Amino acid sequence: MSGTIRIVSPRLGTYDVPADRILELPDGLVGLPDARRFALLESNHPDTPFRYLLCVDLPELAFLVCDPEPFFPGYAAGLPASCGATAAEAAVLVIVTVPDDAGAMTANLMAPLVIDGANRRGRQVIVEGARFQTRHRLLPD
Amino acid sequence: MLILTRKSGEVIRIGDDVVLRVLEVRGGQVRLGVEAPASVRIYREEVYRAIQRENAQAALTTADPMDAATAIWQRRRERER
Repeated sequence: MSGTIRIVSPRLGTYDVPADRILELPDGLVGLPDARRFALLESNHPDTPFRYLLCVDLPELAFLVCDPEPFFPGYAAGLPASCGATAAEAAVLVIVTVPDDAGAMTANLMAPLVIDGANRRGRQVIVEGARFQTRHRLLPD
Repeated sequence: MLILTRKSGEVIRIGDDVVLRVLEVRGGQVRLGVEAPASVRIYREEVYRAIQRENAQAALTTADPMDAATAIWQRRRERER
């Protein structure tokens, strides 16, 4: 792949993303099968754990995501081997839900994004079982 | 909706690759075994719905929460130092 892909997000503005930086989720997100290509964007904040995940196919769709490790140490290592999260070049991101009271923001540990860094392809994995829910407080009281 | 009656141990085949087997019927519960290619994702309906709902909730709507989320995270970090 070469060149750049322009994404015009009504929320976040216009981004030109190198085509070889695009993440591909061939199955889409759960419940959003058409949301297959994403750009992972840094925010303007020099000091934040959060990044934007902006959908190329549906530019009105964007999420806040973060690396779960600082908040939930050992989380990725503890995921089932079948989801590929422990592979050498795997990257794990979790989607963050920010309510009106931002301090109560949560991470969806039940459905992380597991990306193979070698080919930038991944999927939203569902981790069944009682251990993880869709809402884990990032900053407990 | 196609409705089929099956006994314990009997099978329904969906297409060429998916086999749904009734393993046990007891009380109000049915145990099912599903054989399918790895590319076919199989979830309990309520789990799928919960993730779908959370994805919809997490999608950024009108306001960009980056500033608020970052500010709170930074404040919390300062407090813990």
